[in-house]
Amino acid sequence: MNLPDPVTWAIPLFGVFIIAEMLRARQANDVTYEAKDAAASMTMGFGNTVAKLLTGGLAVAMIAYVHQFRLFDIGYAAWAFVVCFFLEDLSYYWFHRISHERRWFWASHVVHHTSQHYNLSTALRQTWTGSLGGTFIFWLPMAWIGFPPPMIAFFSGLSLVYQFWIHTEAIDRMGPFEWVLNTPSHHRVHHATNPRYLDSNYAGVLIIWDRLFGTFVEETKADKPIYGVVSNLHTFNPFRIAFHEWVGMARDVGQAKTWREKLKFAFGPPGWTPDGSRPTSASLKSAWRANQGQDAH
Amino acid sequence: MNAALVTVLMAAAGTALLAFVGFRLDLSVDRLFKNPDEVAQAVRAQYGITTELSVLMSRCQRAAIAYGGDQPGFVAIVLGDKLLVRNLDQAKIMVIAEDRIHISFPDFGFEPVSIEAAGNDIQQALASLGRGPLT
Repeated sequence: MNLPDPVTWAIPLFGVFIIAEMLRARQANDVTYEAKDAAASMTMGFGNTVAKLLTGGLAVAMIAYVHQFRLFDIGYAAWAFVVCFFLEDLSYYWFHRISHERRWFWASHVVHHTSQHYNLSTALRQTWTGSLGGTFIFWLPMAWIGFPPPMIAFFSGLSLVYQFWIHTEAIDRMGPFEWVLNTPSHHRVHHATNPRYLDSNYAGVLIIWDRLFGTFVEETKADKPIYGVVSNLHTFNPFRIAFHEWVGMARDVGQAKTWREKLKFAFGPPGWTPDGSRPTSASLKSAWRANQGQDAH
Repeated sequence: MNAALVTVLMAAAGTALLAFVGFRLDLSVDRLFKNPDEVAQAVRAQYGITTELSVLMSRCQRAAIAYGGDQPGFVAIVLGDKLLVRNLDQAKIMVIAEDRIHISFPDFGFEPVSIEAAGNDIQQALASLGRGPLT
């Protein structure tokens, strides 16, 4: 069955909405754009498209390979589309969560978080190294169960298109939709570096996974999200944005004294060091909690 | 034409168009403090104080220290489009050079701040805060 690539079809719409938001930024205070930052984000998006063409074959080949050993012949039945949507979204949740919790995957995903702004152009700030970094492994179980690879790719593309519009400060809360859907408010929390918000709201389309696995945090008006990463890059150079974490990780692994340290530098939490001298999300969050406790007394 | 090539060409054209529009609209965030009053007002608003504050503004106008009265001192920065203020209670202030100090916080919840200003002004601020060269 031939299923379209939702991302390719959505590219013109991305352009229209970004221009509309840029025009709004000229008139209203609720949206901010920095031309250089937006240009860097869009260059990363373009690079992501090229990188997918050059290296995406690896992911396609691995998924097709695993599909050969499928447990069931699921095919393209209507119920399969419904189940595939939910399973793809669950796979995305775990891909996204591990991409924040393990440095190997963070090295690719950090790119998306390097803008200190939060607007529709930020959605296009995507990695160039995802396929090479092996992020496709999170979708292999679906192929092994027996979902057709084109169906998995279709819902994966649809999820990316869905996530485009939630990168905005122009939309506040969305009432009952906030209970089940990933919304601009939930995703602002995900992009924030305030300790309260670190490592939360990993959802793709449905926020239910965060609620289920205990990673949901609500946006609080009193604690306005500060976007970026804990140690910001302060550059608009696309190559530095794309590779800085890989370079940092390679340096740390090269200088590590033992194999255990090398492995921890590569697969431990981002920020892990043998002496604990750098902050990790967990240490930042616990320091913040301790502070909150002190303030309460 | 090959679908992959169409995708790349569309992405390239879109990127160029959007970047062009962004620059043509002159979209930029005002990242600078306009004057010391803006800093003092931000501190007063956030901490609910009425004390008269002196302000040591960094040359880049993106960071400043406000001090005065019996207050512990405050640091204000503009980060992206946000104006952030924090008191210096738990801050470590390090004199890097005669005209440059570095302020950091133990919990990493606030970016380290560098302030460059005239040596005399830095000395005056540190003395008023009761801080030495490495405090």
